Amino acid sequence: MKILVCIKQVPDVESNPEIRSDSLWINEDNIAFRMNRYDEYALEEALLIKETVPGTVIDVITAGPERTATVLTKGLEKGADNAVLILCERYPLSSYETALLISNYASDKNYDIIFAGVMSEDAMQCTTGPMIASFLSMPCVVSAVKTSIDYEEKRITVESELEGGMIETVTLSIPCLITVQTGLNQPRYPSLSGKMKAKGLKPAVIYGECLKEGFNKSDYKLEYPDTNVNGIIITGTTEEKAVKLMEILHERGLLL
Amino acid sequence: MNSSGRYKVIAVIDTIEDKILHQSFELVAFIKQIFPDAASGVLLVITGRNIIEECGMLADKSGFDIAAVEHNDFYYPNPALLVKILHILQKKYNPEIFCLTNTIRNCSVVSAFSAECGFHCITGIESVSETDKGLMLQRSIFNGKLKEKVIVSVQKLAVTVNPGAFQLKQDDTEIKSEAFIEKIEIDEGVSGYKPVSLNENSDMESSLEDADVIIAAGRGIGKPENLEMVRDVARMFDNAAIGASRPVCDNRWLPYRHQVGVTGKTVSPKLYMALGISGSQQHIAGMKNSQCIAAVNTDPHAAIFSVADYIIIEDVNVFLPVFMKIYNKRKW
Ligand SMILES: Cc1cc2nc3c(=O)[nH]c(=O)nc-3n(C[C@H](O)[C@H](O)[C@H](O)COP(=O)(O)OP(=O)(O)OC[C@H]3O[C@@H](n4cnc5c(N)ncnc54)[C@H](O)[C@@H]3O)c2cc1C
Repeated sequence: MKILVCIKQVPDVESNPEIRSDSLWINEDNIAFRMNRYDEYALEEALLIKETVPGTVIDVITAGPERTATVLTKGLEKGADNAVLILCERYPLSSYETALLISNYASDKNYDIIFAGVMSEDAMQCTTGPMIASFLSMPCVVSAVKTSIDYEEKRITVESELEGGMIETVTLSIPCLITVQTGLNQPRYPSLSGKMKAKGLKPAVIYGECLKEGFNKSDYKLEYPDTNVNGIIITGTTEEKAVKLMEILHERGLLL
Repeated sequence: MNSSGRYKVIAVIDTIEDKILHQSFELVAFIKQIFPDAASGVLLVITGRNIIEECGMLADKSGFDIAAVEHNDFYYPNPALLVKILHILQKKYNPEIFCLTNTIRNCSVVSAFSAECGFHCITGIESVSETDKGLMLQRSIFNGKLKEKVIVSVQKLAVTVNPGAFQLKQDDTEIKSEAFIEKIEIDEGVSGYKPVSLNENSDMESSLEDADVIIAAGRGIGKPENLEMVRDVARMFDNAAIGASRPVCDNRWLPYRHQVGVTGKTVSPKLYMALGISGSQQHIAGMKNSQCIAAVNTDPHAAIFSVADYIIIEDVNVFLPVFMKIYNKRKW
């Protein structure tokens, strides 16, 4: 099996991100970056296949500026065999651009399966994976919560989640692209030996030809959400807040 | 058929097992907002195995023309085949915009279609407004911490619209013009992708829907041991159940039957207490109709506060022990 896992590096924004002065992206000073969580699950699914299908090779790939290489290193530490950085200085890329860059790279590599996360936590578009599949004319299933491979038949059965608590089972012929939902496995941490091994590996760098600007800059901007809240903010010390909430719940006849 | 032989807007009404999902009627409200007098320029597409019977009702209800596409492989949702249909409709009617409801499958439909046809694709639209430069579409990024605003001209556009973002008004659905129903024949399906079956997620069975009170834990509770406090809080109420955000279930801290949200349960208890939950749109979709929402979160900007009746900015792991202590001391 030859597997490609598409990984995105995303800002780790626990608190509120600050919008950059041009309003096109966030201010990256003092921001930590990490692997998109959905991609962690995608990578883990590939690693689990590698454990059961001998001879499996896993490549990890990302497109972005230099800093994004850290998620590739993490991928190598966890057990991927090769890493590819498509270097693009302009950031962020649209999902169309990312998909085009990755599919151009993958087009002559004969991957059996391409994994991607169902969504990136920053842009939240759910579009890159399906676009890659369509550029490569591969069948694609989204939101996988279980996969099982029939290697003889060159077929994968995937349980794919729908909104509303339904699961659709579909079969795909190999080669195919699968976008992964969280929870279908439990992503591992890099082992010590994995970290040692990764030290000797460097991502291959190719230069991404940046395409046309997706949007006219003047037609695109980020804004802070409307923070007006309609609810009552309960103030005071921790104790006072607890008392006030207790009284409210009591008045509403909810407490035992 | 309208006189120009062309539709400006093509919207896809979702179906599962030959039944219409009523949520997708909200697309009608979206279309009416961007094209207030577009009735003759709108085509609704509906897919299924035997779907033609549903069309009359749909035509009456919307006043729009209908294209019914029947194929065995459309009994279950089939994004791959739907992309093929959009191509056929694009060639036939050359619309300016394709609209779908924002579901994970429909996102894959608009992205595959757009990539192939050079359409501009925007998913997860939550609001629109007119500007002198064109239509401004708004969507959430960073889990709702920021909004993205894009001005587009309505041309070669394929979009998905968030469920609940556009509400149908009474008079939107009472147009009874003569709608035209067309049946679109397709010979074969798509190769390489086959829906096999559709099942309720058996991990999901729970009594969450029947609970009067739901105490829900998010990633912010930090570790599974802290669920004990959440359970203690639940014991203060009659008929209470434990809810969870998705990561809590993904981390196996609780089984999936506790999950609330678009891919979990939709609940509307008398009280929903959200503890360490950020309030992603996928979570809020499942609990926003609760009668009373109290939320505890360290982040004063957490999106959950936008739907909360009572807002408590605190560390749950500090707040809950105090809350319990006070409860135990109280005699009503
Ligand atoms: C297709 C799809 C379907 C999905 N379906 C669902 C679904 O059905 N249900 C669902 O819940 N999610 C769903 N998700 C995931 C969703 O996008 C969010 O990732 C998820 O809801 C976040 O869960 P959370 O709020 O617990 O975690 P986070 O977003 O990580 O938030 C944790 C919160 O805890 C707060 N916090 C941290 N520490 C403390 C503390 N000590 N005290 C108090 N507060 C603290 C933080 O400020 C933060 O607001 C879905 C995603 C996709 C792509």
